Parts: sequence; C-alpha cells; structure tokens
Amino acid sequence: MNDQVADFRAEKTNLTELAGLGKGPVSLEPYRSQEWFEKEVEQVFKRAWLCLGREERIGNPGDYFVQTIEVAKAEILVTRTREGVRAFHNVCSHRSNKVVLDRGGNASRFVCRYHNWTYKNDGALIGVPDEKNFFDFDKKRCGLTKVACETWEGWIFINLQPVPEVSLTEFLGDFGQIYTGIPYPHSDKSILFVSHLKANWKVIADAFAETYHIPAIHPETIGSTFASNENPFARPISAQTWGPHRSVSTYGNPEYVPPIGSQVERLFYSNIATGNVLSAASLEDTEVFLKHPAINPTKSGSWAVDVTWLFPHFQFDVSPGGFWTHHFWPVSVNETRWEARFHIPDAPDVWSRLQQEHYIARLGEILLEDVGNTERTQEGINSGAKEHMVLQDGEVMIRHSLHQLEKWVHAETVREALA
Amino acid sequence: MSGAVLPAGFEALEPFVGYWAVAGVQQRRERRENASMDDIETFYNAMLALAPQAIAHLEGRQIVDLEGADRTLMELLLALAHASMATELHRQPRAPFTPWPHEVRLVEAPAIFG
Repeated sequence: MNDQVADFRAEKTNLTELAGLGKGPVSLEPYRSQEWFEKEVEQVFKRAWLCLGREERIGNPGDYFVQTIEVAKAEILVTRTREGVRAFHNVCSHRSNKVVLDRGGNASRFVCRYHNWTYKNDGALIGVPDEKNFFDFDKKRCGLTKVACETWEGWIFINLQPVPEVSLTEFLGDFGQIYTGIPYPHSDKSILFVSHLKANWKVIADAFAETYHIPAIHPETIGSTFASNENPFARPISAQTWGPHRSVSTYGNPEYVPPIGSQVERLFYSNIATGNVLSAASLEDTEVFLKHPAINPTKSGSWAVDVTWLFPHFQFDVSPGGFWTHHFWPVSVNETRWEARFHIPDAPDVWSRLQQEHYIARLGEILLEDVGNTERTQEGINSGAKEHMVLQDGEVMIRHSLHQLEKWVHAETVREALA
Repeated sequence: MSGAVLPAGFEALEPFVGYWAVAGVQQRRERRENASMDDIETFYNAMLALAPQAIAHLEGRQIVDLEGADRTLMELLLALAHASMATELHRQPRAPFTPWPHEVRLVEAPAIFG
C-alpha cells in the first residue's frame, strides 16, 4: 500500500510522486483506439473481478437481478439462494434462449419461455417437458452455466473467466484487508440515475475521479462546499493506492452554510441536523463513518468525500451523508452506460421527504454538470488534435488508472498484472 | 370543502397545480427543465411564500397516507425543491453549459412520492 498525505496548503502537493507514478504527459490512444479497446475487453473486463454492487439489493431468498455486460456480450443472472449469492449466464441449456426476461424480482424458479425448461435459482435444471424424448439425457449436466461469484463486505463481484486465475481476496489485496467492517447505511434502499453517453468509459470515470474540476464545473451547485479560501482549487487531502485499486480523500469546506439567497435550501434543511449539504443521512450515520480508520484516513476536519475506485470500472463514494456508487460499463470504444446509485433512507414525513427531494434535485444538477462535459471531451479526443493530455497532481487517480490498465493489457496472466 | 384542489388557505396556489403538481421526481425535474425562467420564478415566489404554512399543514403525518388536496399540496412543495435549482443556484432554468436535451435520467426513485 502507498499511503499518501499531502498538505493542500503547500505550494504543490506530491501525491503522484508518492504513488510512484510518472509525471509526463499521458497518451490519449486508450480513449479512442479500437485496438486498445478490444484489448481492454479481453485482458481487463474478461479477467478482472467486476463489482456489481451491494448484496442488499437482493436481500431475500429468491431475489434476483439481471446485469448486462455489453462488452462480453453477456447477461448475468444474479440470484439470492438460501446458501448465498450466485451468478449464471442468463442462457437456457436447451437452445440458448434467454431464460429471465425482466431485470429483477423474486422467484424461486425460472422458466424459459421457449420450451418451458425450468431452473431453480441455484441454477439446477428441474423441469424438462417430454424429457423422455431426448437422447442419453442427464438433467444434472444441463443446469445454467455458472459465473464465478463472490461477495466481500456485502459487495457482489463476478469474474467472467471460466475458472478465475485469482480469488477475489487476492484481487483486492491489501485494500480488502483495510476496508473491512465499514457499515453501509441504507444499503437496501437506493435511487438510480442512468445515462448512455457517447464517450469512452474512462472519460466518464475520470470525471468522477478528481475534484480539480469542481470550482469550474459546479460553481453554484457544490463549488462552495468543496473549495474555500483555504483550498481554492479543491485539492485532495490524501490519496492511496493498493495494487490496481485507489482512493482519494477530498476536501470539504467546513464553513459551508447555505447562502442567504438559498431560501428553499435553508427552509427544507432547517428541521434536520446534518453535517453536509450532500447528505441524505443522519448524524448517527456520519459518526459511524468518522470512527473507521479507512474512511477520511487523515481524520481531517475538512473532509467531504472519499472516492474509492476499484479496478477497473467501479467507484464507491463515502461521505458524512452516506454512500453512493458509480458503474462505468463500456459499450463500445466511445459509448458508455453509466449508472449512479445513491443509497438513501426512507423519508416518511414532510420534513425528511422535502430534504430528500432537494438532495435528489441537486444531485441531478451535479451529475448533469459532471457528465455534460464528457461527450464534448470525447469529440475533442477523437479529433486527433492532441496526442496527449497533461495531468496535475490532484488528478493522480486518472494516472494510476491508466497505468494499471496498461499493465493488465500487456500482462499474460492476472497474477503478473497484479504483481 | 370536499373536492377542493388544495386545502383551505392555499387557494392562491391553484394556478400552479396543473403544471407543477406531478407524481414523480423525474417528472418534477423535467417540468423545471422545460419551463421558462419567468414561469419558474412566478411559481417559486408564490410557493415559497406559503411553504412554511404548507409544511405546518402536513407536519406530523405519515406522507404515505396523504390523499387528495393534501397530496397535491405535498407535490407542489416537492416541486419547489426543483424550482429552487433554477432560482437559487443557476439563475436560469438549467445548469449553465450542460447539454439540452439530455438523457441523464432518474430511473429508480424513492418509494414515496417518487
């Protein structure tokens, strides 16, 4: 592990150097090259453990959801059996029709609508009409095709290798040891923003990986919560890397109060004590985070959000007000399905529901400001005007992401990529 | 009075019900995005003036149980959050320099008034 702390008040921070990364310009080819993209698909997305989100999403036996992974041409059926979480290709063993046609729900068995082949949610084939008319037929050999699936701290991961080269524990490495015992409040309840964007998946992921953009892109929505006179360019407080994974702890303006003109914000939040404007949670939730050594690792009094980026395409963010996740699912070299899921509590009364509506309304604006840039950026990249981009110290996670992707693209084995 | 659009005392808000009292977060968001700044400001000023009374009227109840005129009043209050994005943050109907139309959509919303 590299544990990097930088004083944002200094003339320069040194997060990039402490992470052992170079400081030169970075090639834009990984953002526009079809050849590179195909290598990413084969060497990264088909070999790495991919986080699909929280297991509370399928909290009860029989709960399931279907996850599309476009670049693998796969639909993964994730189920909650009495024994745990399981994953399968959503493909019938008879003539390869899709078995589950909706996106989620609760069912103890799944019936393929082509010839009524029936499966239990542990993948076992239990019903075949006119079975006697098949040849040397063994139902036990005709279950749904399993996909490697493991959970860690309530996060569901799958691996598309028929037999994963490394376990999830090995893939997570030191990160998996340090980020244990973190409570995730309201993990069974969430709201979801989705967008299909005409940009490479890394352009979107990069947009959520640095705070340098905040004063420029978000001047009104959150500019004054992430920057202040003390830290006018919203420099991060610290950064950490663990093998292919990374995290930055970002600065929050401890002095922030809604301005006089923000009368609705002041009114709606006036009845609820909360530590952060980006909040849908209670002070009790905040206390739990503040006590954990991995969260806000420097225990800064000016802490806003920890952005943690699990290789390759998943970020989770923990703030005093709760947690949320981003999935950057590549569709093609310049198309991405981006999903942002925010975990929020039920709001049963007028005060809490109004606060929540204000929170969601503001989120919609922030997210649009974030990704509104990305298609324009992709067009700029595609123009070929530039061969490289220059990155500053606060953009260390972008540099680390590209460095790790390059390792994985060129490594013959996953273990070599992780070395 | 049964069948009233809004509870007694909130008649001044009736002109806004047709456009702003809609069922879900995404719809409320779209109404604000599609409105002119004049229309947003007119609604914002009228609704903000009565918001403390509206909250007091609904306070102490489970909002899941709200029906009829009370439900409509709650929807108007919720729409005020969206109108405030334009009046208090952007000072224009939508965030500056963001694409329009766009496809950043809320596809899963809160269970109540979502």
